Amino acid sequence: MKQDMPSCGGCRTCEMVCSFHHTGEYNPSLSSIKILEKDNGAGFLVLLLEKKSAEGFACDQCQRLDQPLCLQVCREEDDLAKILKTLAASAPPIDEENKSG
Amino acid sequence: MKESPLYAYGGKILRVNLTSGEMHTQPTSLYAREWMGASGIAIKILYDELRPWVTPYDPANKLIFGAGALQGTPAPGACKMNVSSLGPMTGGWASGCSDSYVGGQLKYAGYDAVVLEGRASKPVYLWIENDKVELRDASLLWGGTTWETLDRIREELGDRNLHVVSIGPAGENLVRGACIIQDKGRAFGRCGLGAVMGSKNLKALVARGTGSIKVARPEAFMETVSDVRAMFEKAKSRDNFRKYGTLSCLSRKQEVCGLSYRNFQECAIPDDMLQAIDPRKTIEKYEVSRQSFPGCVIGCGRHLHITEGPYAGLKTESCQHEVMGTLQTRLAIQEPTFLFKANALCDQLGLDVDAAGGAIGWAMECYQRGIINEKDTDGQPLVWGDAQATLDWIEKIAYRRGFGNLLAEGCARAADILGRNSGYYAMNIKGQDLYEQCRGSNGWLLGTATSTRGGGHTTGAIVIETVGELDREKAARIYGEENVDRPLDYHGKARIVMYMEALSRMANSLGVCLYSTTCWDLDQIDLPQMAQLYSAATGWDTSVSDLRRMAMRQLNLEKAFNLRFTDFERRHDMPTPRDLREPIPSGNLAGWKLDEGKYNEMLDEYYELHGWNKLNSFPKRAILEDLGLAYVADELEKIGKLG
Repeated sequence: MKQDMPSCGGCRTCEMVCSFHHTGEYNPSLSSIKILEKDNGAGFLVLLLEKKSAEGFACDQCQRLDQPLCLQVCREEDDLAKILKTLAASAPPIDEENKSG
Repeated sequence: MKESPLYAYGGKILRVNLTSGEMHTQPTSLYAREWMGASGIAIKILYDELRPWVTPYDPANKLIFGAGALQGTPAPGACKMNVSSLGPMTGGWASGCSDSYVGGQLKYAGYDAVVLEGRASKPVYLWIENDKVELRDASLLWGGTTWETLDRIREELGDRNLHVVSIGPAGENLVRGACIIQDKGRAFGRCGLGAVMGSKNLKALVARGTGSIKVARPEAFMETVSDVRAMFEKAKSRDNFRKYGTLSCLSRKQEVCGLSYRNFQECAIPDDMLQAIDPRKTIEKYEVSRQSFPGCVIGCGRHLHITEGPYAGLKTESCQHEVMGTLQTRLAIQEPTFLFKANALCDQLGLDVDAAGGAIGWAMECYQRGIINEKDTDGQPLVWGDAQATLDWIEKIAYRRGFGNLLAEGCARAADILGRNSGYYAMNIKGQDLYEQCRGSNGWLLGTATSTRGGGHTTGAIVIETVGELDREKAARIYGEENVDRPLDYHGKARIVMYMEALSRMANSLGVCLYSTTCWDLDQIDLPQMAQLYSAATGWDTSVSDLRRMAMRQLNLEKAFNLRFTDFERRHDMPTPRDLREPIPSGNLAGWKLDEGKYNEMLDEYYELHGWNKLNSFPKRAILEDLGLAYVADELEKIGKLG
């Protein structure tokens, strides 16, 4: 699921902490959240992976935590929270296999 | 005994010989413990491997891209990569840091640094994707701007999310003040690093990595990251800094006579100009979105779309106060959007804004005083406040056209070549154009004048000295002296400069942005937080005194490197002749003049604290041995430069 986030500054700290959540290491190529360049217009695109694939782990909304890690480090957390909610509304719960890394 | 894994690092240093195309790697562990990372590892390699006869544009010179030791982790502010070399501006140590996605990608690809030597027979760029490293033809990119280079490389490699560091025409044409640009809007700005890259026929470096960075104590590290991020909530400067970056400081700089007007003839600008060029208003008017780099808690970057005035249509990143000081106020330009246009043009051409401002400021003052006239300047008048002419000169410098060819040498060399007693107006330290006002801020001055890379406030100057409204008790705890915020004091400043030398070197080695540190705001990252982050990341328990020691080891090696390649001695650590002779002419400090005797006492104290000889500034054997640099003492002794 790809969504526009005009307020995103592109720091990509979310990618680092997301990969940490899944693997205990920092590796944005495995994160569920990807910050992508736009051709035009403000901000960035936010890609959230709904299924585990070669692109990374599926977003599980950091179920075991009070607040998902990406939101904890996002300076525009309200906007990112909306994007996460949209995903939660559309995606089925995450299977255990995804978590193990 | 099995070696323990190297946490936090990429693990390898990539060596590329551009002449032969040969490449190999070596383990980062050879350097990491003693030299930490980025600029620290770079000075060790440069010192050990560059023989005394090497000159900056020789194929034998080495250009080192180094990712910060904490880059690739979410450590707050850890978004800086460093580039170091033997530089063409001062002839000695050249080193600059920039916000950079490329540094993080390098680490995910498994590298902490890339050391380039030799010279490619035709233009090339280096494409690094994990273990696959390739020199690719850059003939079609050569001549292009950095902005075009980014777009074309993304297209050629089929990934629009790639990040690139590249040079523009200025670097290709060996303009001494050429810089290296990350993507489109961030610069490894000073020291002429772009010219070294141009001399190697290297147009760009691109990295993409899909590996992991592991830290030794993951939970402790994440906890520290979280604690340090929380510190920023208290930082007083935060709101202004988030909105405007360092451009928020213009009015404060005016209050403390901290500006350059007409090439430092005055230290404050006319009040109506202050109103007219207020960058806060300009940013608010034209901001379209934000720009931020990995780990950054502040986010001082902005994208602007200028929709009216002479530069209507310009889409660019905002810049920092430096551009305001070095081009807009220095050249007395009234158009409020000029700094963004000039900055964008310099970035496209790969020209350091300070080298441009230094040379053009010198030329305008020479023109004002009748030292040069239209016969020298291709028939063009060079008058203060002429925005269009300034943009034309920036281009002429980058392409070395006409009188621009002389300006491309930087103000110090240009004045040497021109003669006519024009050197007094060439505002520089150690040959590097000065971009900041030093009169009326003694600790700033001392740190700038003694800087091992030449004029500039990012390696030791007391930046916080004139910020104002400091919590004195806290400032004294951090900086070790009571009078941090008394810029006209002379006593105690040497010790504070030493703290700043350590803070900036550790920030650069870790890859932490200096403006995320106590350099600017007491509630930001200090050495104890750096020690905590580094210890948890690497598993090596590292104390603040370990960090200070590592920083002094680096500083002494930079110093020894300079002694090998230059004639620097005590007199090169002195202020500019103008700062020594002229009182501040107007503004709140009107009439204040630097006391040369007291400056020299401050300098004596500075050398004593460092264990350097007061007569010539050379390091003494005792301090070098204490820092584990006995081999450096031996070499300095051989060349007659042991203090």
